[in-house]
Amino acid sequence: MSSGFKQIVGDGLRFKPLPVDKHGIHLAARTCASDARDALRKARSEGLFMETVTAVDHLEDGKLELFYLLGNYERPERTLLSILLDRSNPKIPSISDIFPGVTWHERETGEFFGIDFENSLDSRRLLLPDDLEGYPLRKDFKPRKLPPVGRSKPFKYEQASDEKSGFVLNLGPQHPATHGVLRVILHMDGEYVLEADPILGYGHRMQEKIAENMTYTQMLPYTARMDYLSALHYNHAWVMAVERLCGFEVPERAEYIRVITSELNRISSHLLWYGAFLLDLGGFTPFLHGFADRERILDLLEMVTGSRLTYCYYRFGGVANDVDDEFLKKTLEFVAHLRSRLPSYHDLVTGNVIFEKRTQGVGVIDRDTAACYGITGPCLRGSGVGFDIRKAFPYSIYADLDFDIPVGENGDCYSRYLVRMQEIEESLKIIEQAIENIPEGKIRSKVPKTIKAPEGIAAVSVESSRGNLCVILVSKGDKKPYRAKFRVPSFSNLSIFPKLARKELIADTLAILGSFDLVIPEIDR
Amino acid sequence: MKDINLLHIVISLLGIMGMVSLNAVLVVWLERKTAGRMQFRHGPMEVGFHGILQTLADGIKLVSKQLVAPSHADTALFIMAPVVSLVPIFVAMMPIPFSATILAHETDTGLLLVIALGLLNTLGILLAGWGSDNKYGLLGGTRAVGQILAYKIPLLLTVLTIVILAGSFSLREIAMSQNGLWNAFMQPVAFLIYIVCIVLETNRSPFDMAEAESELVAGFHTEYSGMAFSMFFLAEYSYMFVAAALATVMFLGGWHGPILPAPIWFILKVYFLLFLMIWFRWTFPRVRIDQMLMMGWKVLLPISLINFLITAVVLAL
Repeated sequence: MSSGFKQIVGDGLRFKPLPVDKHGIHLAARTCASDARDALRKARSEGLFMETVTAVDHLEDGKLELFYLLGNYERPERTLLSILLDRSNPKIPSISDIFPGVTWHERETGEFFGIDFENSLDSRRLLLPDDLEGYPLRKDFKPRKLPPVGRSKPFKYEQASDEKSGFVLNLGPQHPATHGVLRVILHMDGEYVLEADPILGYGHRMQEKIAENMTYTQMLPYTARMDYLSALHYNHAWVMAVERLCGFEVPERAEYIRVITSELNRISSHLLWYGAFLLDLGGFTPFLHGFADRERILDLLEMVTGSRLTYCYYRFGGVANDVDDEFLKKTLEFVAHLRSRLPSYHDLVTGNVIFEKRTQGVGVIDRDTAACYGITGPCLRGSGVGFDIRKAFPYSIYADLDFDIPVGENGDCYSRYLVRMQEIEESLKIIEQAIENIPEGKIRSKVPKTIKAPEGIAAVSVESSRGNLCVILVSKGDKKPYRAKFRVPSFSNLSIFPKLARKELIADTLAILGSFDLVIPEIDR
Repeated sequence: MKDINLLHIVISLLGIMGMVSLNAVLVVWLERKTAGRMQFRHGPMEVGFHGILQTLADGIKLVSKQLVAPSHADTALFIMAPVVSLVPIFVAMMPIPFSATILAHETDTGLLLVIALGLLNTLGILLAGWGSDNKYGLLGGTRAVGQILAYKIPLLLTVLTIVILAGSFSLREIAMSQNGLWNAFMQPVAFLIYIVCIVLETNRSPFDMAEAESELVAGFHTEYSGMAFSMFFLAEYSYMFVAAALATVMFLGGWHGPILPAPIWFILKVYFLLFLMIWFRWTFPRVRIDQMLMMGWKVLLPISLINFLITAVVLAL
């Protein structure tokens, strides 16, 4: 047994170490259902954060394998706790009292695999319609009949929890400030929110099941549809997971191209967020300022990828097309242009007294709460934790580049705003360096036409615009992935919202929602 | 007071209706063009010269639309609300002097009349929010009432400051009294408070909490469509005009000005203030409702009270 694991999850418990094959998991062990709680309680006291909970159905063994994936904000290490459950009666005590943020992950895993998390704080369905029978991610799932369109998620009017104090406001699924088909049921007392309950699943497409029915290559375009604002990061995570599993080499030039394009993608996402956030606060003009500059990025990315939003540009072992000098020249021009524009962004918004009053001290997340809920990305860095996948698990060529991780001080909406604005500047720095040093050479290494990944598991993270995007890929040596789990940043980030929204004014809750930079199709998948 | 001639009133009301419509067309166009310029776009370009007739086209479209009322709505209140909002405007316009001679109806208490009628706008908003049986609407309506309580008192105090300076409630005489020095320079504090108050009065950004698009969908007019919606729109732009005209009379010397004829000066000053309000709207994010109430009760009220007392004492000495 690895000593590091003992240190993290404690002595005296029965563990069987699992082989760690350097596919993004540093420590792995198997334990039994009864010991899981103690191990995770120890992990919680060590300050680890819960990246995700997921499962794999081993049909031929009659077992369900439950994974707890734990990350560490301070040290670059990822711990995997695996628990084998009996397929006929999978039961495990819930850990939602230890990691409150895990409730959503448990709800999702529960409804996908039919695992019963005992004593859970909330055992309702999360993403699936209430009238669906069976557990879709089990291998023997046969959809008998598609649920009729329009009735799949029956609309229920919620009653106020306490008749004397308040009413229920149904925010969404169509509402200007929920940025997509998110529905939040707000129990209100006048202008104050007593309780917020997000309802997910309006955009659910069961992408993880689709992945199991596609070859690795066929799945690639789907990844971009999950988070349409950072499509290239999803491309990147997927191709990297497959490359790690199969051991494909990526030529250096391709890595440089990947970094340039994905940083451009990050800037475009942040620019859109800048506008949308201010729109949530009632300022309209920044939205179009952000859009005008984002348009230039879309033009640039269109030159190399051929599309403007849902890119499918990266390939296993490289990228699809080479970039030409014109693209590099225009990108440098854009860098200079955006640098000259950023001061006006700050003039318009950052120093504005109304903006400061609306965002400072609103929606404060501290480090410990962030770890409970698995917050990552700019939302976490706003709380002063410098956890960024690009530094923690340097992938591609990020290790060779000189850039900083901006962190905020107070963990409020204002800090999250500043972090994102500084990240734009850092991304510009990265792009400049990458263009300066881009080598000549091949853009794609030789990979087999039909990809058969060797048996194994890979957990590969990418820093998307919204945080830690992790693809967990389980292969059994087939042409198709045996299980593909997308750990999406917005999912965990949104899970803290009910906690932050409690006892806040409705205007503040919408400021908080806006500051998370949510992309709902990414959450619903 | 001069005797009231019915024909005179009918003619001036007709004139005012034309004014209100023309003003809405112009201000909406100005607003959209200004917003466009601030946001790197053109704004309306298709209908008429640089889109000047766009508002007219929009108006025709809105009029031709069906008026839909929610099934649970209180239909009487629902229909009444936009009327309550819009109609007082026509009366409120009557005592406004465009020059020493051009005014629809002179009364000695013109200022009080206009301010009292301005209150009815909020009544319309509350009725709309209540009558449409919509929680967003209701929240918007209650916000508007909270807002009016917070700003009306400081507004009245600043108005009183001007009244004791001019010694009259008549708008014409207040304007006449500023032939030399404008009140804006004599009473800069009152002027600033009044500017804040007219943005509050017209429910415009940064104080558009009553409609608060990103919070309350559209606030009090969430359920309104077609002509009823456009009447709220018309009312908003007309109140802007009335509020700006009042500010011009009280602080910017009314129609006084060199070279150009008096009504032109008056209109120019009014439109300058309107432009200011448009500028605010497209620059600032929205204030939170509690912050606005705090500002009204704890900042504007004491300052306007002190300003009023100082003015009164100085005049008495």
